[in-house]
Amino acid sequence: MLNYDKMEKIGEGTYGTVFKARNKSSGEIVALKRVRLDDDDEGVPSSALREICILRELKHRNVVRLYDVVHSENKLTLVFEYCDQDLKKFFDSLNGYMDAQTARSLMLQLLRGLSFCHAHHVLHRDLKPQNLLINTNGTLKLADFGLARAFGVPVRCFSAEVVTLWYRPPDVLFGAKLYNTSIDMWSAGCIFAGQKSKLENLIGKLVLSEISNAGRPLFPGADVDDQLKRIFKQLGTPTEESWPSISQLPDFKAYPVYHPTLTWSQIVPNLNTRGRDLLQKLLVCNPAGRIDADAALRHAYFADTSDV
Amino acid sequence: MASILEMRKLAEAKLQTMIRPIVKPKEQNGKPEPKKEEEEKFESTYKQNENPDIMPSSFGKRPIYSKVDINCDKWLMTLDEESRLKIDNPPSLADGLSKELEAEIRYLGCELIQQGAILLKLPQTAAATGQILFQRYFYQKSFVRYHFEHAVQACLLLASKIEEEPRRPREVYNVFHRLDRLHRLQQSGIEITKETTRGIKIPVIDSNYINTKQHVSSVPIPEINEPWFVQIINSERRILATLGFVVHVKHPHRLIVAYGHTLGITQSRPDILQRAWNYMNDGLRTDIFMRYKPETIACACIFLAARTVENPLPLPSYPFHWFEAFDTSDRDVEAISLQLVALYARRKFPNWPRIKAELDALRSAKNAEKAAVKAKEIAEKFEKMVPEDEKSEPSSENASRKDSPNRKIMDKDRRIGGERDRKEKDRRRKRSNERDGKGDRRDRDRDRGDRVGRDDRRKDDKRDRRKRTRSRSRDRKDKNRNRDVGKRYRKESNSPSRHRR
Repeated sequence: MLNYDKMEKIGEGTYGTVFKARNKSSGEIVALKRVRLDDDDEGVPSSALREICILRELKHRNVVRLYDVVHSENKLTLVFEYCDQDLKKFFDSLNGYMDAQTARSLMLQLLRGLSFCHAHHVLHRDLKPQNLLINTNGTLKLADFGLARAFGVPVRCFSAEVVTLWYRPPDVLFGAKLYNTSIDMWSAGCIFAGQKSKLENLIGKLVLSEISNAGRPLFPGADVDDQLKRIFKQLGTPTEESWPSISQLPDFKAYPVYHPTLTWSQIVPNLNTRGRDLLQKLLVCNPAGRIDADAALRHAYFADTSDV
Repeated sequence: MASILEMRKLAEAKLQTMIRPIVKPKEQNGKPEPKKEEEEKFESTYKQNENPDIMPSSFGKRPIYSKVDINCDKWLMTLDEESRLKIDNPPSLADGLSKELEAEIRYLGCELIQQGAILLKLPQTAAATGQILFQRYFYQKSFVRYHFEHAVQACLLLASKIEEEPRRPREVYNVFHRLDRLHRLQQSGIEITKETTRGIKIPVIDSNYINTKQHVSSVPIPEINEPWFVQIINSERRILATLGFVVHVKHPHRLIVAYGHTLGITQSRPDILQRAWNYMNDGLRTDIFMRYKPETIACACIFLAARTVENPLPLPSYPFHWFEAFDTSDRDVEAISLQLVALYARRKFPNWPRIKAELDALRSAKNAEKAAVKAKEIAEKFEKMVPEDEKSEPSSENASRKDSPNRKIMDKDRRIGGERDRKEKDRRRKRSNERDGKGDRRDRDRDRGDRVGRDDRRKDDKRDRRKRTRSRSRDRKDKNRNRDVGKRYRKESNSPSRHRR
């Protein structure tokens, strides 16, 4: 760690403390993620292992860069590219105004990063605003690949305990062990809607539902059950027709049939019709029907630049 | 005429500019850089020690750097000259291991990983990952220097993490212990049945285990100086460092299924697929996974399986061999098939105790040799040092600070004295049998302390170390003043165990 001047603590990651630091020789600002190795009996934590071996293969503008791994006696330090803040803080700092251009640019970058990861057979599995970093120049980067994994084709059984609850898709909530890139797409949709509804709320143009209130996430469920209820209240309860074989999922439970009470234009009124269309394609209960990152990038929402 | 010459020159210049951009990327793509620097991360402490510009603040920290080489997607060892040399002459040979024995150990290690994975109820992919990691590791490191027993356990542990079926080190150790006993039984000629294996108990959580938990190595196990737990964890870290964290393995399992599907034999001939699958799992014990792409291996396995099953099935070979559709050449397929067939010619299972004994003999010989060399080196250094000291001392005390070899040696000594890490189990420490009483006490103090007080303790340690450093340097100055210091060291340096003092 001789090469770096530690400056301040930025936060706690999933498995270690993150510091801001300056490279002594180049003056470059980096983020150091420190993993203590003697704290547990398990050796190198598997999340660190995953993050390192996945990030060292991913090099993209919208994916955070791992510069170096410093392996010293009792700790492992990952040297990351430094970003100023995460998306959550960014929302907070906006103080009520985010123009449609910014929102679209962020969404576009998120999808670009995702499409790159998926093209390299990597699932992020933990997308949420806290894990999306933003630079001062507005570049968005995917970070925290502690839950990510490389997948092959065909996709095998993965663990179901992934993705922060609010951003977890219904198929995983039902205990599905087989999932693919669609898992990330659902999260992307939630984030997308989240940023939209926040924008909406703060401008205060229309009546807001409790969901989009106060810039809260789209589906802030308290537990799995509540989460599913919230989702179905908005999207309508899926049936065997709209989602074949749903009842075969391990934790499947029948829910009362809700009918959407609010239209999308009420939830995210500031989004134009194309944006709404994209959102609806992202938030599809049936994972097979969910749009993939590449198709989402080609969506008309990103084509027109003259809107709002 | 001149104009023609000029035009020719211009054309040549143009050609040059056109050629260059084409040639350069080819060189880069064709031969990925071997990751030299990652190879010796753990040993690089040695080099760090010899770095003349050690800043005072770096004492006792001893960073080990690694480079993350992003473009390394596969671990084929046939792409560049250096790896090719390595795969033909594994590093163990340099330490005096015979080629046959090397192959034997490799086979045994893979076998143990495979059996261990079964006992741990790990999926077959994890077993494969573990074996491939093991193979890769020992194409970078020598069996003589690193105990393959630890590597086997570490590989199992790592593979379980990579394939998302994590197991505890304790479980891995239990399984390994059982395998060890089973092999002993087998070697002594007893048939393995329920009755004979009943006596094998899981290793109790003995004092050794507790010691390792608390990282006090007051009860050293003979021949292995550090307890098993530390061994596994350290071995895991060493493997990761050696492989530069490239631990993702692309398995041909899926490919076999996919290719079988393409050939239309999944339904009609499941026996061929099963056989191909078996070939692949057995092939993990050879070096084919270091030499060929998973696609190639999958093709070869199906090819061989289709010919060796009871009812051989001719696979399409006209207008070209079917595997060429999967970008595989008949030469590779043939080579792999031959290697696989040769695997079954192996008659007996490697004799673990014998291997152990031979390795131990080599190790002790090597250690003795190394110690002798080191002793000689130090003796030479001190010989050189004597006149220099005599020259420099009258002028000023600090003059000899930077470049005298004495200083360097002292640095090294101090580092080892200031070494506080309990998990560290360098060979160096093994060789320096002694540990000063101070260090031991500090270790114990640390372990008595609770985790909550860790930070305070660390601060204390730092202060402690600084104080000690100061006092040591004072000692050193005193020693330097002593005129016949050189003579004394020369006398002592013949005994390898004491040169560290």
